[in-house]
Amino acid sequence: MTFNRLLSRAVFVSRAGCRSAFTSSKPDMTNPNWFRVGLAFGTTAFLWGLLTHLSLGRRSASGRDLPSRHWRSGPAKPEEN
Amino acid sequence: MGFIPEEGKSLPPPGLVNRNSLWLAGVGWVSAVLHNAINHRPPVKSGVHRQFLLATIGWFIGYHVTKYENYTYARLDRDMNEYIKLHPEKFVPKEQAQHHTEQKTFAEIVEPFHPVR
Repeated sequence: MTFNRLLSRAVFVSRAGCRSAFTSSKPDMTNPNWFRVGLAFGTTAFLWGLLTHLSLGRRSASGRDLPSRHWRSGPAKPEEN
Repeated sequence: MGFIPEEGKSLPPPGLVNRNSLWLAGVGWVSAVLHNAINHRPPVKSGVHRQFLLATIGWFIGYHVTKYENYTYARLDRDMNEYIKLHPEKFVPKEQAQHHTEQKTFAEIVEPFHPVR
């Protein structure tokens, strides 16, 4: 009896007594969140601009330290000095 | 990016279109489509901004993976060529080796064979 009373009192005290897993309203798909859409497209445009800038820039000809080669052409031959 | 040391900065940057970028962009796009499908939305026709964003993020990561790959192979090539330069006696061309009397038969090179029958 004391045990049951302890248990029943615990239900009233704790917040995790009974929670439902379902939300009250479904997400509304007919009205898009334009802020998030704009943020996604803006980030996309920014990343593409950054990529274009990175791939076009840095055409420095000081490639003496490391030999560069195409990924299909095998190891770089040693330079005949 | 941040994980390529100074010696790798002189390498030419990889092209915009490369294998790693294509693959990871595909991974990002498929993950966006899967996310739509799991949430009971039309998989390809909905959330186009998400598809674009995830594909672009995958392309970006793939570009830097290719950059690191180029740096790794360039470093290995340089180390290999330096070793070849430092030890020319180990890389004698075949015609020169045959002129010397050091030509070994296979019986001298290979380990002794003890048949177990």
